[in-house]
Amino acid sequence: MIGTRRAVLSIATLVLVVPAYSRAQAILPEKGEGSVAMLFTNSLATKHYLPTTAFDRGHIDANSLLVDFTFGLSDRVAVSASLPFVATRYRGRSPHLLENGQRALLDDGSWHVTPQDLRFGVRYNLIQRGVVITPFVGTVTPSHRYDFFAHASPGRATNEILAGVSAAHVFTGRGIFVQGRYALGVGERVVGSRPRHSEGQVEIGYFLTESVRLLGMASGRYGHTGIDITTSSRSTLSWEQYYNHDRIAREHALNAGGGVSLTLSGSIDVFASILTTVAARNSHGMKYSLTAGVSWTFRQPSEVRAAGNHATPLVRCVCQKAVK
Amino acid sequence: MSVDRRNRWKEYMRKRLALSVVAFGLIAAWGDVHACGDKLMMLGRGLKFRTAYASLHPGNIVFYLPRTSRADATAAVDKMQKFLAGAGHRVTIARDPAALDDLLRVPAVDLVLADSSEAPRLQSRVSALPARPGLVALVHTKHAAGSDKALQGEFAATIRSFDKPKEYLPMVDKLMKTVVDRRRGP
Repeated sequence: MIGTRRAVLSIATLVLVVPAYSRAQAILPEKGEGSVAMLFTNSLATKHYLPTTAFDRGHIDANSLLVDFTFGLSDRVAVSASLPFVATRYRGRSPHLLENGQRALLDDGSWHVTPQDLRFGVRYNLIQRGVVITPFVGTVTPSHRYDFFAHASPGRATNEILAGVSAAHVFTGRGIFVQGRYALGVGERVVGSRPRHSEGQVEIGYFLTESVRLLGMASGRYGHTGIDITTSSRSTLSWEQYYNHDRIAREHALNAGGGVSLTLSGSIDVFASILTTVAARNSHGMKYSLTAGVSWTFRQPSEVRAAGNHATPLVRCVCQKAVK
Repeated sequence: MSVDRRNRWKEYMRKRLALSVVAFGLIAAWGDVHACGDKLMMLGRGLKFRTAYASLHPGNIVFYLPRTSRADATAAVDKMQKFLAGAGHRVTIARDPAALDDLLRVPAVDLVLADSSEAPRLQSRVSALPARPGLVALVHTKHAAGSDKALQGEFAATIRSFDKPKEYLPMVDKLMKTVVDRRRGP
């Protein structure tokens, strides 16, 4: 009981002290197991949904490199941290215009590179058998003050807290797994309102072989608060609202795609995926988002030696000579 | 409060909390986006095979693989033991009868896997063990696969070693659960 209380207090402390974000997979790493992943993403947005009609108002290229660290504190608790570096470029004739009518600095047609938001997360596994259920909390915090008023802005530059639950189930006999998550995100107050949104992701995978899995995936976002952006918003909104429109818009989006993931060794995995925007509101429409990545899984030396650990080589061959 | 009762209470509360969280998730609206502010998508890693097929009932498995075994049987057992160990089981291979006797003296053996031609000879020895491990017949060749049905009633299970790991790992897990439940009693 004391152990449970201590665990809950530790999680609460982490959540309060550390701003957090979670990728939120339901199945956690074992105690002492960690992973470092690097993901490179290239995406192209060719449409602006205003609010639900798709307009061509220029193209936005984005390349990002995400470094993600995840570690299992126990078999039930895992923490993660990540920091993306984002390079963006806007190509088009409708850049964001400042109050004095000048073009926003980032929308000058050249590439702009910057670290984006720090993400921290804590996951606690409630149910390990059958349908695995893992609630999580996380935060997103801008790594520095960066410009958010541009098509080519690297991010929203707002603090956000996310809380939700991940679930996963493996249909072992069929070699299929399904995992998903739901999160409610609450942002910091901007122009008098506190943005709230729901987001969800679903991933269905099939083990083609023990090392190769095929993936189908979808992700969505539903804005609970915010305003619609129209082609005349620059004149109908106050300057403060317009300057912050990317932070206060009521955004919906549904993206879908597929991917492949490959286990190269016991500790190295590589993966690649492609996603596209299926429907959106007050948002950019992605023509594609290509991701390729590699992850390295490691264990603390003491955990490698522990009995019953999956990475431990638990096989030995015995003959009479060896027994005696 | 006894330890057993406390554990049951903790398990009950954990389930209640999980259900509440799921219900909250379902009631709230559904809804990663790519607005001017979002340049990240983080899907597409999936689950590792080892993670997906990690055993819920890891146990001690003994293979009986006499030195006189055919090369294909040896190769099949080599592959099987790798995946069984990856799933979290402790796997030991006995290469002669004396080594098997020594291994079976260990009370914690849960399953004994042997070639279908060897398994009948082991049956009385295995069933006489106090730990009552399950005896599983291994069929190594496809042309002998028809015989696995005939073997069904005689052994705890028949496993075709040429099947994919995703087929036999769940079966082994189920057998482990049966053995554990039987030991616990009604």
